[in-house]
Amino acid sequence: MATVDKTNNNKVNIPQNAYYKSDDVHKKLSSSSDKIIKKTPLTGAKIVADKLTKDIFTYAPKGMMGSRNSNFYEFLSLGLIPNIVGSAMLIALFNAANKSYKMPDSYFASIGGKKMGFGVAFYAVGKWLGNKMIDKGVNALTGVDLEMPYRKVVTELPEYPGDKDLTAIETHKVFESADFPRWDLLNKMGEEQGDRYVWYDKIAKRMGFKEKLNSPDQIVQPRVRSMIVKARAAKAISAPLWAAFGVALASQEPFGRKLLAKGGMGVNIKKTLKNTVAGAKEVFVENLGNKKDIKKTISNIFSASKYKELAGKKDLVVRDTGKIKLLGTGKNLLLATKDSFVQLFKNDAKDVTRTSKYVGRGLFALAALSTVFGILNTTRGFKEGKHLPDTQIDTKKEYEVM
Amino acid sequence: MVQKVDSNTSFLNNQYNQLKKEISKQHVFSSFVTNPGYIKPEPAQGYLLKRRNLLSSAAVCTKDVAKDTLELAKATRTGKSNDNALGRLNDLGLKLGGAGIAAYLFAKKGSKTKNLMEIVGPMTFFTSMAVWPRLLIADPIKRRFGFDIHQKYIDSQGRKKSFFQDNQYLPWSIWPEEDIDKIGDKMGVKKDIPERRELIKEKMRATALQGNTLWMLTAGFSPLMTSLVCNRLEKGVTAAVINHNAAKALEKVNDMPRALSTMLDDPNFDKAAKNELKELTKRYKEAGIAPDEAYFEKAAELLNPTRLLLASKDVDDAKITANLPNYKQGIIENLKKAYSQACQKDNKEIVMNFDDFVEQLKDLKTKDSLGNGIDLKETIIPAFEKIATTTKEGAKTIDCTAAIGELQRLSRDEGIKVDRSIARPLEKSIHKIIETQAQKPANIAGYLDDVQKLYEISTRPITARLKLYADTVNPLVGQKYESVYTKDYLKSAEVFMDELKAGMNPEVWGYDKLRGSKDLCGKYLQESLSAKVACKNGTYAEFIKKITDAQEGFESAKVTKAAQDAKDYTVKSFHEFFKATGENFADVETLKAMDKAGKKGKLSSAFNFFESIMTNGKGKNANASVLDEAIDLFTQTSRTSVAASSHRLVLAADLEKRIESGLLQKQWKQLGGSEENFAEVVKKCRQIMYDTTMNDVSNTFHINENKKTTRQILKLLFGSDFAPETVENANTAVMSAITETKKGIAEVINSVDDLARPGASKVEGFANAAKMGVTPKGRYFKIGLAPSDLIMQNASKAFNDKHWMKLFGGIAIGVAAVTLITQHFFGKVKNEELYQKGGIKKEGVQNAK
Repeated sequence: MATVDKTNNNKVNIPQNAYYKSDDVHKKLSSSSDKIIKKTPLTGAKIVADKLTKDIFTYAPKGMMGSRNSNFYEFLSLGLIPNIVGSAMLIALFNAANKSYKMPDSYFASIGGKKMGFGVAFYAVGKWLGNKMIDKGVNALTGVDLEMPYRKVVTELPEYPGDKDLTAIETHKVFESADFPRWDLLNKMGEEQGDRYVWYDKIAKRMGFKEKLNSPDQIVQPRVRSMIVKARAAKAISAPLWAAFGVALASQEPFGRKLLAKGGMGVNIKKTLKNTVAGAKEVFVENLGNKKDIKKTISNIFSASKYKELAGKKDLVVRDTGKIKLLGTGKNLLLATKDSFVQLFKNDAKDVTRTSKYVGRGLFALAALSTVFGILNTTRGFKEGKHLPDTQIDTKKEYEVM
Repeated sequence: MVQKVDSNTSFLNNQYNQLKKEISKQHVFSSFVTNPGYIKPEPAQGYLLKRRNLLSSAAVCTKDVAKDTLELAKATRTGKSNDNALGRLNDLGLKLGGAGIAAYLFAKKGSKTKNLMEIVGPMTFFTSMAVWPRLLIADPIKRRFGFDIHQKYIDSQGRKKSFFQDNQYLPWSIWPEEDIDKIGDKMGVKKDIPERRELIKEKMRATALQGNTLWMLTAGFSPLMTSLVCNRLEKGVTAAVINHNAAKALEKVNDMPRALSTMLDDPNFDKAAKNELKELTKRYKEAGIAPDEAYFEKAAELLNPTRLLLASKDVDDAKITANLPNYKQGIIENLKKAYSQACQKDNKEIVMNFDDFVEQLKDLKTKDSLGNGIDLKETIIPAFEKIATTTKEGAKTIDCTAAIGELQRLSRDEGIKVDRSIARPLEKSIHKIIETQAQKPANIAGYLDDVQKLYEISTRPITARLKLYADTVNPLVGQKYESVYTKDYLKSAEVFMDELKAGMNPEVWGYDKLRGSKDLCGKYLQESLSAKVACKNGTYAEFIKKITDAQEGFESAKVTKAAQDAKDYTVKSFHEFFKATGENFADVETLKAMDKAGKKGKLSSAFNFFESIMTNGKGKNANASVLDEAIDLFTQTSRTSVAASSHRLVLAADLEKRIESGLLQKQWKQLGGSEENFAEVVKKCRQIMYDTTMNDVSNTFHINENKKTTRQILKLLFGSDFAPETVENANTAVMSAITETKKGIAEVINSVDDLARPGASKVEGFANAAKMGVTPKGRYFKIGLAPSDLIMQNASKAFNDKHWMKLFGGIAIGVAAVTLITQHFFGKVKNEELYQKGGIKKEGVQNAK
């Protein structure tokens, strides 16, 4: 068994020290080239917002001009637009004309319209959730964040004589490609922290190797590569199944109801939101013991009177009517989701058949199963360190490469 | 030729390898120095794919789905794949999700059209996702420039890719150069440019990029196209469903007995209920538990003969049973009754330990009629002891039933000793003991089996008859959604609306205004009809002919007769089924065999129950059963309501004609009405003819003080002759039916005094209020829909359709126009002059012709 002190460079040929740290030139280069972004809870949302802005103001105009600088990333990013337009279109098709109808046509049309609207929203939520669950599950079991984002600096050709803005920033994922994951960025990230293999060591440890490996990258890389493939395959199945389940949920009767609560929208939306979240947290904590009665908990979380009660204690502002509306609508939505879930499972709506019972439950079971199976399949055999000798490469032995 | 492996061999091999290595190094070096052009990239293995038409590309799409599925399996299993293949999995997932949604929505109840559209919808969506960019972007560009921006190719690794997918990676080496030249010709690139081919490629690249970007910007509108297409498709689907079902129904009606026996012979018919009952029986049998509430509930549900129709996916099916009572509760009660009978029978055989028996009676404090306490030990216990028997094992046992018999004998024969007031409560106590003992009756399994058999004997034959009736009558004259009648009705209403609209000022009588007011609809009707009758006779004649011809469908002898035949056969077959009991009905033999000694047994009582609920308690000899009435009502009402609503339109037109030609006034005189306020009479006539609903019939007319005048007006309206112009020009078959309807309306109006009281009919000919036609429901149907209501409904519907179409059709046309116009600016390359100046000047370029 070879244990290597990584601070001692003489024993191994692979450069392990961090030259980015010392070298000013490299440091400068590092700040103007591709780099892994530190993740915060809102990173994902920021990236999407950024992409959307760029789609409209940069990528679409560039594409329509036939620019040489348009690349595949931009084409893929433009995929956001049909998603948004298509969703809006679907909702509009079932809602936009309804107000012009007279009663009772407008009423009955609005039931279908609402269900369609929620169907579209739940499709998106389901898909997002399906992807997220697998990523989070894999991350929790292995420590590999398949969604790890990095900022890419692209050098462009001048669009016109004297064009000086020759760089473009793109946001990619380190593991978005199964063929070419950006290992170099992981090394770079490590070097900035003083050890090139920081990330690999972390993963190798999770894989069950008790001691640091000489070349953890050689062990980790193939494993991560297969994880990328398996996770993407799992997501391709799981996400649409969750999306379909979302639509099935939205097709239940509760989503045809009027869900928007009464009360005008408050002026200070930011404050309202902030207070609402803070209040919900308070009530949720207070109601934690109320596990059995979900309905009561939900209704407590969103009851205005409860807030007023709390307002005295916790100094929460409840004056704005916007909040009452927001709270009421939130409550209605949550309860509708819960009721729909129950209705789908009990299969007790007016328009159900025996088949719909099995299909509805089956859809949920399949979606849940695909998530669980997807995570397990992706992480299968990950703990190989426990079953293998501590290292496969004996550094003391000399090899001749023919 | 080494035959023997000695120690030198490996050495020699090593030497040889070393030598080979050296030589190869030398070779590389020398060739690099002497001939730098020697090292070349390997020729491209990829090739362009031919463009397919839409149909065959659908076939290829199916093939690709299969391929992608295999790739998915491989990726899941081995974890080995590539970016291209993984990217394609997204499309596969999208289709899977679509299928999931369609499957769930398809499984729900609805009309067949609705269910089919759940499948057609996603298919249209995927098609329109593929067709929209092709029709509006790729095809126009192909026509203009001669190349497809969605050109597919197979790369050197055999993967299918889109040529212009990545703007910065275009494998030009596989695009034949002659083709590029040809495209250049189409693009109008000058032939004498030195870097011509490069310019063409650049133009192609720019065009493809622009096309793809435009695709992304407009792809979001494909739901719009889907929706517009589905809107058109839906009508076709409904028509196809109706035609298909009607043809099938007519075929069945031709030979009803065979259709019925086919259904009964089919092992798959109502298989679910049969299997569930079997499961239920098995579960209770194996667990050895006595039937409980849950069992009765479930068994009754499965034995309910209307279950199949109520649970049917097709919403029309359930309507057949709307007039039938809910049998489930009755079945539960009867099953329980049969069960307690079964228990009683078992009780007779209850034998228990004598000491236990006495122990349970001991606490009983009994007093005789004089109030003296009785010691059981002295009087009755010894008597019981006498009939007790001793088994081989030496245990003393007593037959509980025999004990009751003994008790009865004692109170009868030795009344002085054993007072009735003692015997009665004692008997009850023994019964109680028996009951507690009988909680596990000896033969639960037998009872469960019998119930299971009940399904075969009763439920299945009845269910089959009901189902056959639904299958034959619904597609022909069913009330809602998908029947020949509904189709004809909608068509005739459409024709009527169109005819009425002709010549009317749309500014004043637009559907947007009509849809909001019934009054306005009445005025519109009057205005339009007066215009029709005021014109020369030709116009009125044409109008009447057109609207009656459109109604011919209702009177189609084929359909009406078929529906009638189906009804008649169903009623007959029910009668036969019940009458067969005890005579030649095969299953009854089984029934009898199961009931021991032909006494009133468990099963036959349950069977009798079926018979009695189906025949309304009149037994097997009843001439009119509940079923008869329900079925009759269904067939009749569905016909009459549709017919009455449509016929009233003709009656309204006829009234206008009568007013115009002065015939009405003449008829009024004949009826002895006063001339003074004839204008008032005309007003009233129009009001009744245009606006009358069933509520008006029951409330307004009969609460009216001037009852006599109202009756006279009604007689004038419905009891007098048609205008001769109407009779001459109308479709003959329809005309006779209209006469019937007219008579029907008159009858109902005459027969009703108060709608709030069901069966409140005092008029001659309708003595039996329960009979068809004068039940509240029947009356409603006979009166039909008021013409002004019909106009309002149809105007509203037409407005909604038009409004929706205008809104979204407009958007669709707008988007399509912008998409097409934008392409006009495609294919322009910046600094085109550089291609003319730059590069090495060549002696012209080889071009294809």
